[in-house]
Amino acid sequence: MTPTDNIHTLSGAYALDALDDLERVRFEAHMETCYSCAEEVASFQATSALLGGAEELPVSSELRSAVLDEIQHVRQVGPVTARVTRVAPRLVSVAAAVLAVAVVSLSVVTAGLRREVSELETYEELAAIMQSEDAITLTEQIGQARLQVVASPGSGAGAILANGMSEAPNGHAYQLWLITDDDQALPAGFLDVGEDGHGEYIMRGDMDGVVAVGITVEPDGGSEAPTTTPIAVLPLTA
Amino acid sequence: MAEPRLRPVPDVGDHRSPNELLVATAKGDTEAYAALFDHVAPKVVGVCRRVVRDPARSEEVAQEVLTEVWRSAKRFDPDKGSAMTWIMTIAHRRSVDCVRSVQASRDRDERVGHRDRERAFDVVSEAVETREDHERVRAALEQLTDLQREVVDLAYYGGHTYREVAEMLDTPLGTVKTRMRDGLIRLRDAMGVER
Repeated sequence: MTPTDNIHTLSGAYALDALDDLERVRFEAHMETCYSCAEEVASFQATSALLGGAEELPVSSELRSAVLDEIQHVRQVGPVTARVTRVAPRLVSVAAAVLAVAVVSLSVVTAGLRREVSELETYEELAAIMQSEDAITLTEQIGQARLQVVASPGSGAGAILANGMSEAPNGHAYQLWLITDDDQALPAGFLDVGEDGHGEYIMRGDMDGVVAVGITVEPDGGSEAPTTTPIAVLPLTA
Repeated sequence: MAEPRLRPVPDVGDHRSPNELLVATAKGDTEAYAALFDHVAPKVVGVCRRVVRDPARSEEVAQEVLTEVWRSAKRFDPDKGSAMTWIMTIAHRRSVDCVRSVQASRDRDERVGHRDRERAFDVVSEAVETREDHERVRAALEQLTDLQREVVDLAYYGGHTYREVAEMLDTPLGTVKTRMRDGLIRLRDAMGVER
């Protein structure tokens, strides 16, 4: 995790859409924890909206009828839910909520029996993890993306679910890391996010001393150690 | 591609603000959406055209944006900003994505340098009602230093990344980032944007 040069100075470039995809994702992650950047960007976006808004042009009647017609067939997507903080006890209700999300996310993908079988297995594994005594769940909203982690350190398993997340930039992948209490980042697989913004991954392994799950954007095929600033670090401490 | 035809400004008797209309749209109200469309579509079409430039392609992008406004209306949070800002942010982002996805072929066409120079000539088609907005933006842009104005212009209207801007202007990256930020601060204050 190399320190980047002052990320705060990117607020202007972000609001002008002058960052590349990777920098955009990173800056959005940064704004989750940097209130002053988020505030500044909001005021910059209001400013750039005025730049754009002064460009009014007449609207063709074809465009108007095309759009008003099209929306009759377009389903509205649900709101992005507010951040849910980590809850260790009251396992059942939390598990139920996470499961509901899991079912939604799992039911999206279709084609192929093999895929269905693996979904079912994923689903069962998820349920098993959530029913463990020591299960920890955590939900984080990062920009448009909602990430959920459920982990059972005792049984050495964890799962990560993503919704509303952008696909990894071209030639890159979202790599998962188990971060230990002595600051090591152990590679833990890849979160494959599809076009529909969904992804899930079951992680296994010794979770002794694991305090967080991190996600970085890495070149396809992954890296041995994180090479970019994490877009998310999800703490697992109960 | 036919020239867009001018539509009369609708007097729909719906005097709700864009914020109220977008909140109603989020509940699936298609009439509210139609009224919202009439408020915002000229601005969406305008910014898409300015950034994308190609008339047919920019109309496609505008259509995607306006449909996206309907699709994602529930994600609009009035506490975080105005409907107009939310919509224009989507419109600009989509326009820039479009410009970048065709960048490779444009580079091959050797048209990359022309795109920005041609710009000065195509901003005369606005309706009279937008004069005031125009004037306000023009006056605010005049408050900027030359470099601030150039970096904002190349990024916002040209759709270039700050790295490209640095290269085009042969200016260090750090300077470009900083000028974008302090340029926006100055514009924001000159136009009296709240916050």
